[in-house]
Amino acid sequence: MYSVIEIKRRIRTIRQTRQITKAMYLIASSKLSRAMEKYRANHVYFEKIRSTLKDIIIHSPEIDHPFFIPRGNERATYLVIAGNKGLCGAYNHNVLHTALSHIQQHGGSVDIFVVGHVARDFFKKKGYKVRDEFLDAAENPNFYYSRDMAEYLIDCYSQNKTDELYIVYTHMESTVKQTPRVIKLLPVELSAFFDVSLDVNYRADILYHPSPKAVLDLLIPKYLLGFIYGALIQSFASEQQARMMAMDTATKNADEMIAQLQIKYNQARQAVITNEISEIMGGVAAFEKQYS
Amino acid sequence: MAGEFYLEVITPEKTFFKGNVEMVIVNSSDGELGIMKGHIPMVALVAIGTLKIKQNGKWREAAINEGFMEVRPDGVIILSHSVEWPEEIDEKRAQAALERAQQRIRLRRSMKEYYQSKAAMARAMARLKVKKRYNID
Repeated sequence: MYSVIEIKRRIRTIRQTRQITKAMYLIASSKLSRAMEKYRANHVYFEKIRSTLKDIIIHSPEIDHPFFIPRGNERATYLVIAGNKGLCGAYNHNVLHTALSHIQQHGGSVDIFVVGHVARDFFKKKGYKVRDEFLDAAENPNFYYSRDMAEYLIDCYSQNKTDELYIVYTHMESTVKQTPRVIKLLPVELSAFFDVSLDVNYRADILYHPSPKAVLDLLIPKYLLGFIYGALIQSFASEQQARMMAMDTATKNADEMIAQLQIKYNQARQAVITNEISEIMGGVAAFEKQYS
Repeated sequence: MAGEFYLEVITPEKTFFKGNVEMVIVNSSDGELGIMKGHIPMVALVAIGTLKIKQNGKWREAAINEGFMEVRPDGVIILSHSVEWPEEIDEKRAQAALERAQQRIRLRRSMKEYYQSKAAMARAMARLKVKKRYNID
């Protein structure tokens, strides 16, 4: 049995930790709601871009544009989005292992761009060369970062430095379910649009004004920018969600521990009192014996 | 009598406009492009300039950034980075942006910056033009 003071000290430390986890929970939830706001605002626009692009792909089978023509899969570029910090359950683990297994299957030469310190450390440890130009986009996902990233990656692709471009991020399906996803961004394939439902069905050729190339030259970068921005925000929101859950569990665990320790503390305290009383009673009894 | 068709104008921040209209005119890369009901499916670039919408026989104008327009049998969608009604345009800010852009162009730094400044200048001029016409009315 621990002494009363020891138990008291433990309760105090657990209480302090509980305060921290509770605060982290609140911070994560406020960050989450802000991220979701941003995401919802952008969502309509981005889904329209995707459905337009899908429409174009379906209705124009013979598109002759560098962004659509496969060049083999010798060199691949990955953009892996994870968090800056831990303490968020299995969030980082899930997305990074999804990325790793995809990269290992790929073979060939790979270029890995990472977002988030955890991602960088992970791939460095695994012995990959890591490009960290976009490292800091994890903490504050915004449009400017995304634009720089999209421009840089498109340049890489246009200058023929890479054959394929993948993005690995955490898709937020609902507030309780987040799944890591690997999506091929370039060359543009129909498979990347599996979750876009087209609301119209018509059979006709589309007219492009002024030319298919000019339209796609504008549309594809916008699509990529929107995708990267959405992926950053979704990953960020998923991270906050995961952290909220982890911190909520931690707070509950702390509560449970405190309750148990409180019982132990009461027992120990009671034992001390009982002990003292029996000592006093013993003393009194000895006294009475002596003087009676 | 011209028929009506459904038009949606969307920016990353909000749905700028949606409703049935009689005609819409945008600036394309080589001049104005007017769409009425029954147009064949088309995807067109939208250049920086003025967006004109005719609804219930009345024309309204807005300043529009670069984007594109998709004409479908069931309606028209215009996607752009930003679209503003004249009421929303800050004239002083647009004027300042115009001057800034002109100054940057004079500096002649790099080709990329030149294009960016050109675009910034076009945006500022489009805003000012829309605002000016609105003020006259």
